[in-house]
Amino acid sequence: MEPIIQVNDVTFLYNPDAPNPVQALCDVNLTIYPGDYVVIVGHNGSGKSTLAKHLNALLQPTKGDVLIRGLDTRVPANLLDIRSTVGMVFQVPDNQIVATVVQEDIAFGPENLGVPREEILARVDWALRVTGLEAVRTHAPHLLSGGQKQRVAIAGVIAMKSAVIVLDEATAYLDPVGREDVLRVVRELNSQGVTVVAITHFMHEALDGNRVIVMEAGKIVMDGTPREIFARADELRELQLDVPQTTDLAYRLHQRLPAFPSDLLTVPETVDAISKFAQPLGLGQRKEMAV
Amino acid sequence: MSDQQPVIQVNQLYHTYLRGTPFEVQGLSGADLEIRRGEVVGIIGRTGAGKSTIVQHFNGLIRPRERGKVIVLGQDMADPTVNVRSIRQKVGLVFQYPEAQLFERLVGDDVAFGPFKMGLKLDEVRDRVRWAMNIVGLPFEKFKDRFTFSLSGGEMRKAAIAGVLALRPEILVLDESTSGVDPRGRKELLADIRKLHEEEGLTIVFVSTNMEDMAALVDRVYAVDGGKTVMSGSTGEIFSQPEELRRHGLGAPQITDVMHQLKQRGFPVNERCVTVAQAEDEVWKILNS
Repeated sequence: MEPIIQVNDVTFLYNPDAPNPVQALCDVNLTIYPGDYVVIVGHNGSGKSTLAKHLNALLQPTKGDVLIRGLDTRVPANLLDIRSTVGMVFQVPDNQIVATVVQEDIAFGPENLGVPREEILARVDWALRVTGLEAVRTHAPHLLSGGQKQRVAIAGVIAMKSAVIVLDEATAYLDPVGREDVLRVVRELNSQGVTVVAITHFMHEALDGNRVIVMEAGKIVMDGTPREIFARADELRELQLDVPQTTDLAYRLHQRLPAFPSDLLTVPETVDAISKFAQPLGLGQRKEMAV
Repeated sequence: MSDQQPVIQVNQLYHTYLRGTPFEVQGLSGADLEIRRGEVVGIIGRTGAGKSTIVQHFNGLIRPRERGKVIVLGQDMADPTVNVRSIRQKVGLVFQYPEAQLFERLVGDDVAFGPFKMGLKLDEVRDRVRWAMNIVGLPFEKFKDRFTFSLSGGEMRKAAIAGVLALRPEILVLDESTSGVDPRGRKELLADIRKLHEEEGLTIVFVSTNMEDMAALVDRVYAVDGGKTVMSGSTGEIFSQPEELRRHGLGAPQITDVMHQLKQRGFPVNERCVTVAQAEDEVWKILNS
């Protein structure tokens, strides 16, 4: 399969002409294939957002190349193609909504791409359906909840039929249910083949991905499946990053009881493992039978 | 620390935004809560539930004009003769995007703004700024002459909190002040807040939609939904009711979910665990008995 995103030896300096330019990215290499769900974690200032902004040519590398479907982001003639391939959803929902009515906001992107009217209407209907916003299609976006606003932003991106969605901490300011609604939509889109690149500080969100990338000081320092990454709890702790609470619990129990698995990720997995280890002792099951 | 004396009382509070216009929105419709001196209390609720509307009553940014009562440090906030200036000095409010509260060029000047406005002498202002910056982990000598806008996101938040602390409030209200900060910054902020409580005896009101942070920090929780108080209790009591929380657009920390499900499977665990360390001990009991 052809990669959809290629980042080759990219270095990026903010204000390269200043006496002390800030090096935000340092020889970063990253290849992403269609249908991937890549989660990027790391501290503020580690280069996550700078990297994300390279993926739709909001920033161009100081050194190295970024290719989107083989198109170089430095070539101005490629920009329209690149930006309709890669859609961005940012942290604060209010900053990315332009229209006064939800369905018009969603239509804004395809209108700018010159999509014919009938096709726009069809795409808006589809985007509203996928994001679960049909009931509020004629509402004013600023009166929606945070989770709804982020879903409007996502609907706007998918109405452009973007093959890649980049979410730059899109769930940071949402409440737990709003966050779950957004993630459900993202999972659904990914299952339909949309490539997802999600930046987050919530480690349990990393469990949705098939690949987790850890950034520190402008470099990719870890790259693997969620299970591989979170099994390296000591390294993550050294970077002062969290692990999901379930993984933390499994790790602590593993220290006390080496047979206990150290690489548990989800709540059901953890509950099952604990049940299994407690069961031979006759707890749980027997109590139920006695009732 | 808690001497049971309420410093903030909210009874059946109502508030309507843009009242009397076609854009009327019901912000609060019967909120109740009570905060005692020296407590660390959390307020949780989905976006739009009324959390910020409640806490803006604590320092008179919003005054009760409809039904209900707000008593802050013994003062009835509906009384037009209340000295709001003195209340605002005693009740420090840090907002959701605290970095937006910064406006001076240098960090030290920004933190000094409040105490200067209180009319304090230069020496005393300097002492307070030094204390406030040190306690939030922005060492005074190193950071006072730094450009405000060269700080990282986490540092900006600390600077904004220091600016509020320099007023020497008795009550510190943090309205989503830890959202959007990276894990390292969040851990540091939470440690700062704990230190302010333990060493300086500040009463803390912590508003957040991050249940893990809430569980790690507060002793008692109020949940609000639709402008009303819908749950109240100790942190363990609240987070051991995941279904009820979900009904109000909230959730429980992952670890509480694990304990709750173990309990449902019939294991004799205490489901009121809110931290991983507590859960480890509880689970160890059933693995090891």
